[in-house]
Amino acid sequence: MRTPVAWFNSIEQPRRTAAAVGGIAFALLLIFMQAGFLGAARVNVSIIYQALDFDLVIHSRAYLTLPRSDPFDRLRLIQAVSVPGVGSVTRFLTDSYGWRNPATGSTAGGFLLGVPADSKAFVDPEINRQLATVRPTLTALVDRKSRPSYGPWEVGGRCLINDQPVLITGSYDLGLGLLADGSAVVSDETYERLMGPWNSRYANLGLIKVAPGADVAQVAAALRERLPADVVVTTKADIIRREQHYFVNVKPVGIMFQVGVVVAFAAGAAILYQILASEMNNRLGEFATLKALGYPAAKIYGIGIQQGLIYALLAYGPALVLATLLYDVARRLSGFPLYMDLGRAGFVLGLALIMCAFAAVLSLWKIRKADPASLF
Amino acid sequence: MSLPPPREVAVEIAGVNHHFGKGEARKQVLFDNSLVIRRGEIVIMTGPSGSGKTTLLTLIGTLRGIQEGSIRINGQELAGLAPAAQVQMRRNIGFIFQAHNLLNALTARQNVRMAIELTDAPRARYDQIANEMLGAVGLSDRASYKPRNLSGGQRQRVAIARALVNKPRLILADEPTAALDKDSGANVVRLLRELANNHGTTVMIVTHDARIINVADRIVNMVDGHIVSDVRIKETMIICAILKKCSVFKEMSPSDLTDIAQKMAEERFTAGENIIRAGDVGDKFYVIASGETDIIAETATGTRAVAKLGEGDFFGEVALLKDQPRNATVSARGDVTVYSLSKENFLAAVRSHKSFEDQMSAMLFTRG
Repeated sequence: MRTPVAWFNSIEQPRRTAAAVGGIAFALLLIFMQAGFLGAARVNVSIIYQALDFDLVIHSRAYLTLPRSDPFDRLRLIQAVSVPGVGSVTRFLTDSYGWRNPATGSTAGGFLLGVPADSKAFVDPEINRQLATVRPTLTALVDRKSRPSYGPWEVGGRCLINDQPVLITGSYDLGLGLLADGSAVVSDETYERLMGPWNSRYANLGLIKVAPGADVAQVAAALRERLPADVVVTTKADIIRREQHYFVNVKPVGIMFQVGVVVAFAAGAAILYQILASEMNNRLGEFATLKALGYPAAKIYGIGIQQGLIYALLAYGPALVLATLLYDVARRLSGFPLYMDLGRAGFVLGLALIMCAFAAVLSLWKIRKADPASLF
Repeated sequence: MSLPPPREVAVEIAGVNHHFGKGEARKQVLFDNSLVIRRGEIVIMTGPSGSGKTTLLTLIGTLRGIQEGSIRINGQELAGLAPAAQVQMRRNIGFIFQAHNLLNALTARQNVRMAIELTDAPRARYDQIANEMLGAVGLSDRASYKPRNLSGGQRQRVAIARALVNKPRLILADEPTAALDKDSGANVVRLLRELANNHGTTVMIVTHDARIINVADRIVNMVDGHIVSDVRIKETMIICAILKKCSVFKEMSPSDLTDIAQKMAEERFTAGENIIRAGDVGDKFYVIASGETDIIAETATGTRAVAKLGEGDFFGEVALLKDQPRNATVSARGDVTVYSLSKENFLAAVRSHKSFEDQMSAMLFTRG
């Protein structure tokens, strides 16, 4: 085996290496956190859609995002039922509400989700089973992952939604994170009572399950042909993608997270560059010696690049572990769906390697200055 | 004492000029330097600081580009050599720097390995070869030490081991023994001598260390960018010994004899070749360093060899002193090496040394 000069250079001064690795690890941790927030936001903004069971969705042409989904005439749902291939159409209502805990007087916001009590609108069969309990008006299921600002509540107790007393008949796990403090599921009749009777003419979404054996794309095409232009038919995957795009690329908070990733990357690259440039500078005489011995320039540059790679990889491990721990803490404190997954771990590893290449290229010009003639 | 058989040229320097700086700051540091070094020679370069000897060394080592003139290493022209070829060329050169220039993160063994790894040696033998070389410089027990845990002399010996381990064809050394004690220095000199004798390695050493002067085959002195003297130690000793044997030279001091010897050029002849021819204008004085010659002259019975000259004899002085044509032909009987002194230098020596002139006259008188 050839002598791994880059490795020995990297570990020659453990304190300096530890400081270097610490700096880079911190930058990678920042990237992990920003990327984690961004990824969690992606999951978070689509969490309601993920929880709903449908193949296609009808929404208003003016639809921007679920929290700002303009209602459309519920007649479109009746029209949709008659389209061949459509198995079922479920009316879905949603808007924000005001929550008050009568025991503590604490107030908070949330999303009210209204579906027919006899529907199977949710993926989770437990929620569908509990829908039967919200058949009576002014009853609701409440999200167990609602923020602490909801105050203590329990099934069988009462709460105030839009200042109207509501009996809590069940609960479920959803957690809206960035979208709202919490949520409650009610029947469409209760929804109209709580949010205003004019809602009886409208729906925010129409959740469509295609008939067994029907082709989703064909049914979507048929629906688009049949329904007037005031509504749009979208697949589940597309509406989720659209929702994520809106949040990540249009909403300021999403852009902030993206900028955070870029800034953390730049900070990491700057730290790595400083470390590498200083290292190259300190070893100019040694690089000149290698040139004099007959090592080609590419081999000597390779030592610099490998050293950058070693620093980046040494920093990556601790950053990964720390980020996983911090994800866990943040998830518990905020209910935000922060999880370490292979994709994100790979993404940050890729960024670390690019960062290393970037810093190495910037710092390697110093090696050019290593003049073997100066050794004599 | 006899001359070694002629060896091929290892380093051939011709008309080398070199400048540093640009524009008005441009300064010439080497002036039309020429030098031929043969394989297996150990050449010590001396001269004051700034005389250009290190610059010349870096040019020979392909560490700088040649601006004017020509340097050939083992027949390969360095002027205009592509960078990749320069790198390749350096692999055949062992560099010993005054500052050891070891890689601080590596052990002594690993430092030596860095040179071995440029060769075709089997990877499994890297450590063994490195250990053997470190043993040769007396550092077997320090192979696993890093430079910071070695003394200055030990570091220098590691650097020397690194330079010598591949048995390069050319070694360029800058004050290799400056940091070494007497015994270590002698050991390094012994190694260099062994490489030169056994492997034909050519060694050029820039040094001010008088302790190692006796290892040199030649001493090249540089002053202000010029090679001002090139003393072939062995040849000079041979020439001086020959000159000293002659009555005309015996009164001269070693310094004067050395001055004359330095001005003499080596010439080699093969069997049957005429060194001088009867009737030609005398232009050189000769001493025979090795081989035998016939003196062929016109006699009453025709042209024939009338005498034989051998190692340690001299001839050609009469025509120079009398400014007459040669009165005989001198022809090589086999391979012959002579050292010749030009008429101009010969007469200059005569003029500058009155007693020498007197001696020569006496000699001419005795030769009739």
